[in-house]
Amino acid sequence: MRHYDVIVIGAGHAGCEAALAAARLGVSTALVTINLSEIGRMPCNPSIGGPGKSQLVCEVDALGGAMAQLTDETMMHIRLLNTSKGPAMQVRRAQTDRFAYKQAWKRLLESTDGLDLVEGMVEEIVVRDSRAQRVRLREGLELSGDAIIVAAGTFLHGRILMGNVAYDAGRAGEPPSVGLAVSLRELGFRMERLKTGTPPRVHRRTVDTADLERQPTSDVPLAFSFWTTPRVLPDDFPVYVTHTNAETHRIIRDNLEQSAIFNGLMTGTGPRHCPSLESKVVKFPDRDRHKVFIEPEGRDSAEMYLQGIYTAFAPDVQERIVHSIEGLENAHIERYGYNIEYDFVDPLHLSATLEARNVAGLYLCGQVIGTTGYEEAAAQGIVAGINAALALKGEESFVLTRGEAVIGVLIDDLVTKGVAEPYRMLPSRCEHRLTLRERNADLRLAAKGHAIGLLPDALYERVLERERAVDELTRTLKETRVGPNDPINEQLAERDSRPLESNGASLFELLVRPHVRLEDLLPSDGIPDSVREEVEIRGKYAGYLAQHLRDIDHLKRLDSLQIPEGIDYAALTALSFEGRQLLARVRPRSFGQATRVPGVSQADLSMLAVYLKR
Amino acid sequence: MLGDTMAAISTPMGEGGIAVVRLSGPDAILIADRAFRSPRGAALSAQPSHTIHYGHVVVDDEIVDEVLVSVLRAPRTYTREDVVEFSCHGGIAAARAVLDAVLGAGARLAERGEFTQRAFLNGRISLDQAQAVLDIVRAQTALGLEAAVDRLGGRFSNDIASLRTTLEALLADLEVDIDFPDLDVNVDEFLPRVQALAERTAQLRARGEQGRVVREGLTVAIIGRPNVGKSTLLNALLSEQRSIVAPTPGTTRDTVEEVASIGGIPVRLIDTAGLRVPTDEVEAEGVRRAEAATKRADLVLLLLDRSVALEDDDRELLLRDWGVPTIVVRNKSDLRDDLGSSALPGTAIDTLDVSARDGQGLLELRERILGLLVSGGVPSRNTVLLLDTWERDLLRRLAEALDRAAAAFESGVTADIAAEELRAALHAAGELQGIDLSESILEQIFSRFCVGK
Repeated sequence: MRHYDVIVIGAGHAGCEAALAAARLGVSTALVTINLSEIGRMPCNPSIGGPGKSQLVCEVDALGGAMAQLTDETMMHIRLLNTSKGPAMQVRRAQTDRFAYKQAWKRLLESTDGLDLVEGMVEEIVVRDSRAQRVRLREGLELSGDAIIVAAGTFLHGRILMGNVAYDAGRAGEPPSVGLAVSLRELGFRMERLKTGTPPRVHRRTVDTADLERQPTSDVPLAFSFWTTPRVLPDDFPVYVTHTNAETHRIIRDNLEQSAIFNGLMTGTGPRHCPSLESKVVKFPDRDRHKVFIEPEGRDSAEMYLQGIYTAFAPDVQERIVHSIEGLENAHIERYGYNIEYDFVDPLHLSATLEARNVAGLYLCGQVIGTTGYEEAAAQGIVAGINAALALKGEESFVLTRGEAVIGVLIDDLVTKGVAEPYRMLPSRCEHRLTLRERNADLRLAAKGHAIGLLPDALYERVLERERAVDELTRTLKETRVGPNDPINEQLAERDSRPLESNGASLFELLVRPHVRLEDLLPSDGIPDSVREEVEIRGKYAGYLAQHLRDIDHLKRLDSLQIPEGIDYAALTALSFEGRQLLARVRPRSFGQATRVPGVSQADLSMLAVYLKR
Repeated sequence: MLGDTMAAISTPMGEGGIAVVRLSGPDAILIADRAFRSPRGAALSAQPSHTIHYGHVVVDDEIVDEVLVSVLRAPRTYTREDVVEFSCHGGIAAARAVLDAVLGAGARLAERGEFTQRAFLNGRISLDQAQAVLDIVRAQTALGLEAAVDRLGGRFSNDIASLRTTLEALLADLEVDIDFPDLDVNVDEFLPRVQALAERTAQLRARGEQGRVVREGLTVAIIGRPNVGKSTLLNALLSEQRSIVAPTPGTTRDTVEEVASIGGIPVRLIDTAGLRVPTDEVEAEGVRRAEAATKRADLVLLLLDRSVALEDDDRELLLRDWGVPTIVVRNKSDLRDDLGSSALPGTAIDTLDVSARDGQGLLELRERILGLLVSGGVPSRNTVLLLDTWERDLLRRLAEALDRAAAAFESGVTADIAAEELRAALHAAGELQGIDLSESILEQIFSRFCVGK
């Protein structure tokens, strides 16, 4: 039997980052996938980034992951979003060539030392003495591993539904994983059902874009990765915007029984942030139209993705819906939209390292624990891969806190609150989002990625250089004081800002004023934009960032109060019955985590604190 | 489960039909058995829970009192611990003797409010309810009692809940625009919406301030030269005789303090010795105390005798700045007015004619006292909010965050900053309610907006 230190099951966005991280940390790694040609596939939207998600991509990048670089390499279109909502909220979103993206991942993984790709379907995870031991493949092969990472996506008991039709599938065109689902259930994991959907894809030639709003790619150079040089893409693959209309909605209302979502076929819970078109029409009857984005899928593909029309209607109704929409009157559907239902493992089984608490050496990450999105998957993948490797090397585990990273928010939410619907990262989930920005992910996390051994010295040196430049410019601004007679007052007046008083102010303090920009205060002097932007944000949000630091510190104190793993909540009779139940289900590791368990009352928390301090 | 067994007299001190001595803790029944003797010799520890037994409290075989004993076993008790209640004869002496007996048998004397504290710590009541119970225990006046009872019923929680819901909707409108940039959100009317919330919060704060006054009370110093009728006025406000009243100047050698209820608010009245050049040591000490009294007063009543002409001592008092609102009270309106209506020296312009002896003008005096001391008008049961310090502090944080959010919208800074302030406001509102709000904004977003991408 072949032996690996780490075996990763599934080569989607979680599995790829997990396998890459483990192998790069020097442990022998096998990546097992049902179909070697579908590594790193984007079965849904061919886009990466957006609010919340973009921060995750950049954090993975700062730790030494690959998603950002591969996106930069294969993107066809990129935009900066939220530009009017404050510099700290700005994020990137790219349309990638999803065929090229898959190729890029395969190339990268195959060129990584210590990493073997294996095509095959895992049917069983064998556990001995509460420790993961080996996997058994459908093909009759067995692989033994010290750590096993499950990144099976939507494959567990996957079932595709459209109209009145349902058939078993892991994704369109791929078989489901049934044996693995049974195996996990037998290991004692609670599993429930979720669903998600995709829209139809149409042929580019049959779309009439003449009268549609055209979203061009950015005309300022952009890149996700801190290690890629930003560039302006040729504007060959724009996104077009169209809308549904009264006729579309009439077709939907008249045919609801032909949607798997409304005819009782569907049982899983779907994501509220990504509803099907039929759900939107039913839930918001007053809206007379909904936006539809027509997005390119690849340079060498004529497929266009109809973002906004997630549907489980029968194919003929899908045709009528699509044809009722401006620009799509004659569109030919190459792939029909569908919904997929799948089993997921309750993430409350996991600790923040993503290791199962009931099976040592078994890790789970990505859609299989109830999230949605490539970015969320990649973020968990790198954390699982790092922890599997660190554990084998006998090193301290790697956990990011809510104050350090959006990844920390993601995983803490999962293992503390569980999931009731597919979990998507959103800025509003992050209490310290002004601190956890997309563009400072390197300053926040590169040191950690480097210390673990994932981020190479050369890249880390670049972060240190930027950090030094940021500190130096900040110091200059703080030390430069201006008074009422300074010519800068004219500049302030132009910005509707009051003149300086006799005691003056530092340039850094002036940044706090609304509408005052760094360029008003100091000539650029060849200082890179990446440095100036960071300093400007630190000045603009100084008060809030300082408050975040205090909050994060408070959080750290609460988290430092550890709860013993073997605590018997049933014996804590001073807590309410409900409180004991909630805490026993989540089994928080620290008092801080306990405070975030939904539904636990202040009175119960007070009692728990009394108990822990005794 | 919190350790020792404690005991206290849990009915108010004073004359009553019966008094109750309560024991709570793991050894409550054991200790009660040591101090109790039933005519049939049955031990309390052998009795089922929630039963009442007749017998005597004994110390060294001597009968102390005849009692009825309730045996209440955990957890269905006020504190969730074992509880024993002795209902003994009323009056201080009997209750005290029973308490001494159980203390002698091994209980510890409970501190004030400790039963309620245990009920909270044992998870039987919420912090909010515990606070309300402590307020009832401490309530000095009928109005305070009513406000505390309302609090127990959760009226404040309703106010905050309603405010929070409005705030949540506002924040969701702002957040959805950041979370889902492809959505065309109508972001109008943020400023007036924030201002309306700020106004509501200001009203809650004013009511909370009234509550502070209702709970903690106010101090009013009555000053004036000798024999202008200070003690008579004090007694009139108390509606009973307390100070020594005599027509000889300087009878009140010491300061006298009494608590009166004015408009439902406990008002501590300080009757000071007459303020004039002292003629002996005792009087000098009285004057010093009177001056000290004005320093801790919220209001000064400066008393003049309007039946005689203004004296130098009066003038001196009128010219002094007492540092707090001052009402000049022209006493003895039942007699001839020899003071005249000419302008008085000094800055205190608020003057009023009263007769402390026959009660003329006292009603108006009470109203003026309230008007000067309680912002937002005279409190009523419908407006007073009894809040603890931490709650007033949270309300202040809520108000400040809303003000800053309004300022952010006014100055046209970006949405992320306004959102940060509204988040702080929502956090404070959530803390006031003691609930977790982490998912509430998303709930709002998903129920009100059709989102995608």
